[in-house]
Formats: sequence, structure tokens, C-alpha cells
Amino acid sequence: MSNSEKTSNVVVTGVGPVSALGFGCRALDQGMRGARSGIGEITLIDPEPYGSRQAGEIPEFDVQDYLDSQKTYLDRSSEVAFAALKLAMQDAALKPADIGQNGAGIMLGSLFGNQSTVELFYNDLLEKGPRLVKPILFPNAYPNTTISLLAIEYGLDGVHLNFAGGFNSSMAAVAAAYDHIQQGKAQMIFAGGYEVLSESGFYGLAELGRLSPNDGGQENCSPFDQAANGFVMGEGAALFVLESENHAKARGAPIKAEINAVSHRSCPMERKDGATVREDTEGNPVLDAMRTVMCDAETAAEEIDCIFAHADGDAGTDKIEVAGCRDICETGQAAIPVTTTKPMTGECLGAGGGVQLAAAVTAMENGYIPPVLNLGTPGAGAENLDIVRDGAWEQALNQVMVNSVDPGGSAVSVIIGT
Amino acid sequence: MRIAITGRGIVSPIGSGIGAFQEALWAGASGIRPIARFDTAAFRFKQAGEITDFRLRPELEARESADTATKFLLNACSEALQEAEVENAGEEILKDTGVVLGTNFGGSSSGEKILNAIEGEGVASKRDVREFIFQTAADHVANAWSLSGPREVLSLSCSSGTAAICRAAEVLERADASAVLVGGYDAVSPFAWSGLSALRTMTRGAIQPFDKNRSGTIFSEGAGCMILEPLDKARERGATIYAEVLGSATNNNAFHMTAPSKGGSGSVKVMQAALDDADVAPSEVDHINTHGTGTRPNDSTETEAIKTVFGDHAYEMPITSIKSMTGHMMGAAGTVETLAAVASLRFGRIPPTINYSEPDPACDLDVVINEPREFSGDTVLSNSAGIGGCNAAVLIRKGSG
Repeated sequence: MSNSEKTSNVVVTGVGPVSALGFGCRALDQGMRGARSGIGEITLIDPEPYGSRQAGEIPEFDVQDYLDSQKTYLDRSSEVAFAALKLAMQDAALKPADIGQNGAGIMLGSLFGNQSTVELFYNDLLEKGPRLVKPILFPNAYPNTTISLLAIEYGLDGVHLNFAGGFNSSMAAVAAAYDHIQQGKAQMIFAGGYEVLSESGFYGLAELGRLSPNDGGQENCSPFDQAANGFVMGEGAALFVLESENHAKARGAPIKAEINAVSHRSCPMERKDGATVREDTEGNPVLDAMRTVMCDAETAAEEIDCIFAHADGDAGTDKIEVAGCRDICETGQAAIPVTTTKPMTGECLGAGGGVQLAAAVTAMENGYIPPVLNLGTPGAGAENLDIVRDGAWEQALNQVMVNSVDPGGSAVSVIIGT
Repeated sequence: MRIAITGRGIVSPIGSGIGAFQEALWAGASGIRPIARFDTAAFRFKQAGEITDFRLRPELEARESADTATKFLLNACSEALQEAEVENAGEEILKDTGVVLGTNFGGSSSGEKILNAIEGEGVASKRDVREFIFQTAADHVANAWSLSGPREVLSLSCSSGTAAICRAAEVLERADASAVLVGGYDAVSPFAWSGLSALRTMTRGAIQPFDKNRSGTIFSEGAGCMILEPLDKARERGATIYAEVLGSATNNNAFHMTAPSKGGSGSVKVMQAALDDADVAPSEVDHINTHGTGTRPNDSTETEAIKTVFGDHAYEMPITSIKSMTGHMMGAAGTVETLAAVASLRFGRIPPTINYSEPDPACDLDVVINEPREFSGDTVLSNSAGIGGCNAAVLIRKGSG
């Protein structure tokens, strides 16, 4: 597959990261350079029933610091998205007056979305019955509540797409925004995703056996390690100001990175009759996405300075991604350094790709690769990869690949450059 | 890029299968009936466009455990793929086919089990969790036909289905897929029904779009699917071109979560953006398949917006709302209504807005009332909107096949 003719280069002019490492690019930079993990004991819900006690919760914050007007109701997922958007705006040297009612769009992704409001609504329903539920809750329980509240707040009257899929959601949003600007349909789009801890979301992840420790061992987020036994959930949000290069230059905006290419691929993970074929599947969506994105960016493996892998400690997705990275390195005869920020932030689900993309832009700006924490003995094929460990590697980065993988069998790869 | 619709599939309250659906459109059938799936004693609204005769198609037998809404989707996808004869066209097309879906509530029928479980009522199984997660619907579709293109699930309230068409067009434009299976789907569940009832947009009477006495909408369920392919590739393989997608757009009113913007400014902009995307002049549009929900604010605001975009030409174009028949199919509405527009182009006939009795001066366009009308145009616009101020519009033209 090849790109249709490019009409516009797409650049990143603002990054608004929120994660267990804190708020904004500086906090993310300090956390990564300092090889710090934001993962700790869960405080937001009672984890007792679930056998997993840790998460990368977003540090305590006052949403008023990020609001331009008073709100009667905002749930935690909207709060973190509002904060991320505000941070991205500031980073892009934009004021609310610059973006209102002039065609700027927004595209967001989240896996569980506004599930905490869904819970409140449902609780109200069980207690009072359908005739007496609080009317304010349901409009706030839609998967598109957060994106629409942001559009209303800042007058974002342009393209409006909300991805409510899986782990790829925020990267799918970034990919869609890239398409839209690249095809000349918009000049500026806020794109990214958000994810927060909710009781029902945590219940679901535990029930699916995705949370560490899913083998009865020690709870830890340790991708690439032979003792990896699931992921630790993280909260997070990342919003990017994406613009056509011409638009950014015309307003004298700081250009932090260029998006060179994006690719979204999938492979059937089960047979047509519904039986699982993961173990013997021939297709590898991560490899497919990485190959396609390199082809579209017209770049060779030796020109990729680092891969920010999806790697979160989940056996299924890590296995195919490691195999994909090995293939890219061996085929291209290049030892590409591989890292992941998941042990620092936790697996931020629908926001995971966005948070890692924010990490990649930040690392590129500051000339280093953050290390993979919690790595003892590499396993499951990772022993053959050049994993970044033992502190940050000081290194100029000109071109970086970022992966986001969904356990259902789809993957998004993005290549960014200086 | 010119984009062809080469396959269609429908599960709707007025008929499932494209043939039955079209017959019902021309007959002015109503799909509104008392809800049978759950006890409505405690609810203020007791009728919906419920699918009552549903059976998963035999080739999908292995997916019986899928969520209710996902099963509607799977049937519609199966029909669309069959009609597009993609499987006969060689492995290559299927391999690179993407899946772009739109839904309000996705697997919420399964999600209720989790909500109950955290309240101490029973447990939710792996199946319940898996089927609740919206991405699972796309995984089901991709796995059932071994598709390897992008899988995306959009949720933009009641504009979701049309938004999915917009996004699919971009995926094709980027050449990341040889074809895209677009699906809008939703199901009525106690959870959704409680919320929808609380929105105070429903009526206990009939849905009467554009009528002076209209008193609200009635939500319903189902799925609408279509296969989109680059027109040149579709012609190359000798596919039937049911219609061409000329252009599309999404946006937000950027005004209020539930109230329409003044003069329907968001709707105006989204129609203009779809026309711009298609490079089509307003005067070239021959008919609008409206959002037409039957609520007081929607229908007058949509009328005003159409007048702003089309000027005097607005009065020369027949408009209709099939929601009067199907009910408001939520995430499926946009795809199903676009398929109704495709039927209008193919049969030269516009489906009626039923239940119409009294003109409203605030809705003074040429509504096709109560009986279908013969039609010779070749370009149709379909509008959608949803809670949060979401809008989407798609412009289609008569196909060559």
C-alpha cells in the first residue's frame, strides 16, 4: 500500500501529556530522564476483589487549574482530557481565541471512555428506577461526551471523530487526523486520547486475565522480561496540536516534530468458525503495520533511531511485537534501540499510544531514549533485541517509530521525524 | 478519489435484507411496536423499533455468543459482502479490506452485566467483558471474513453511522485498504432505554417528522452495512455500482450538548463541507434524506439549515424522513438512511414520511408525505446529527450498475 499524493506535511506543534509521571511535557521529560515509575498502590477504587493492587494513577490535581470556565459536571475522564487539551494549547502557543469557530477539529480515542459516569447513572437507575434518574447523568455517559464537551468549550467546529475501540483508540485518532490534514481537508486538529481508572473497567481487565499478576506471581509491569505476567493499568491522556506545515509556519508556531507516516493494519486472530488461532497465525499485524509505515515514510530500518514499543507485559501482544521488531531489525540489518514507557506510566489502554507518542516527541526534542524499567532477564525473544536499559541513553533522535497494539489483532505504527 | 458502494446489508425494524427493507420503504411500513425484550412496566416509554424476528445467519453460527447489537451488525455485513461478491473477486480484496464501524452504545447489553456485578448483583464473565468492549465488534467482523485492513470503531452518538462513511472514505483515500466494510449498529437495552427515556426526546404517540403536531422521536435498533471501494477498482472487477459516494463531512456545533445551535449553524457547515468535499454545487442536489427525528427542535432547525445552504433551491428538492417508519436507529441510522437514499436513486422513488397530517409553517419544505413519490434525480444528500452537537453528512450519486 502506498500513500496517495501528499498535499500537506503534517506537523506536531503542541503536546499535552497527562500520566502517572505528572502533567505537561516537563514532568514527562523529568520522569523519563530520571527513570522514574509513577505506578503505585491503587487509591481510586477498592482493588480488594481483583487480585491486582497497583496502577499508574494520575497524581492528585485541581481541574480548576486547567479550565477556562466553570463546569457543573465533569467526570474524571473529561477532567484529564480538559487538562491535556489545555496543556497542548499552551505548548503550541495558542490561546482559546485563536482556535474558536474557525474550522479547527478534534479527534479523540478512549477504550472505557466515560465509564465512571455510566456507573453513576446505572447506580442511580438501580436505586430509583428509570423514571427518577438524574437527567444530567445520561448525556454525560455517552462515549462522545468528552470530545463534544471539548468542542463546545473551545469552539472546535471542524471535523469531529471519536474512536471508542480498543487499545489503539488514541493512535487511530492521531492517524485519522493525519489523514485529514494530509489530504488537505483541515489545517488544524486536536488529536489524542484519554483513559482513567473506573471500577467496571478494572473489573473487566481483571476478568479478562490481562492484569499482572495473571500467573499468581508477583505483580509488576515488566515488559520484555521473562517474568512478565500481564500489565499494570495506567491512567493518562495525551492531546496533540496537529497542523499542516504551511499553517504552522504562517502563524510562527513552534514545530516539535513532523508525522512522516502512519499505518493501521490487522490480522485475523481466530478462524472463521470462531476458534482461536493466535499461536499459529501466519499474519502479524504489528510487523505488517511497521513494514507499511516504513514503506510510506520511504525509510529504511537503519534510519529509524528508536522504536517506542507498545510492550506492556501482556504475553500475547508482546510476543507478536517482539517478533515484528526482530524481523524489521534483521531484514534491515540494523540494531534499532527498543524502549517502552509502560513500566513508568502503566498501560493507559485507549490513551496508551497517545501517551507513548508524547513520550517519543519529548525524547526526540531532548535527545535521549528513556529506559525500560523493571527489566531483569529478558525473555520471549526480547533477548535478541537492543532494549534500552540502565538509565536513559543520551542520543540524538531524528526519526522514531511508535507502536500501539490491540490484543484483538490490530496495530497502528507511526513514524515521526524532526 | 471516486468511491463506489458495491454491497449493502440491512437489519431493520421494517425488514431485514435489502429487498425486504426496500419493499417496506415503498409500502410506508412502520417498525414501531411494544418492547418485548424486557419488562417496560417501570418505563415511561414502552414502544420502540425493536427487531423481533432476528436469527443469526447460518454462516455466522460460531458467533452466537456475540453481543445483541454485534449480531445485527454481523448479519448486515454478511449480506453486504455477499452482494458485493467480494469473495468471488479473489483473496486480495478481502485481505486488505478495512472495517469502520459506528455505534452509540456498542456492546452495552453485555456491559450491563459488569455494571450489575460491581453493584454486587451476579458476576460478569469473560464473554460479557469481551462483548462489551466496542473493538470486539470490529474484531468479530474482521475474523469472520479474514480481513486485514484497519479496524476502527467510532462513537459519535446518532451521527455515528454517517461519520463511519466519512472515515471510510479517508481510509480508502490513504490507500490503506482495498475496500472498507462500513457498519452502523445499535441495540435497545434496558440501560440504553433508561437513558434515552431520561433525555425527554421521545414520544408516546407516533413519530411525525416535520408535522405541526410532532411530539418526539422513538428510538430503535438494527444495523446497516455497505462495502466501499475505489470506483475504478470496482469497475475493473466488474462489480455492480449501487451508488457513488461523492463527498462527506463531520463536525460539531460547538454550542451545547443537547440544544441545537441557532439556525442550525453546525448543520449548515457540515452540509457545505460535504458539498465542498464532493465539489458539487447546492443546485445539483436533487433530494435530501433528512435526519428528521420528529422532535420539535430538530425538524424546524434542520429545515432552517437546509434553507440557508440551498436558498430557493431548498423548495425545489423533495425531502423525507424514513425515521417515521424505522424509528431512530441511533448508530445505525446514518448507514440505513444512506442505503434508503441509494434505493431512491436506483428505483427512482422517494420513500414517504409517514404519520404526516398537518403542515408546520416552520417546516415548509417539500416533504414527501404518506405515499412514495416518483423521482428522476441523480444526487442525494443524507444528514445525521447526535447528542453532543455532532453532525455528519454524506452526498451520493446514482451508480452505473
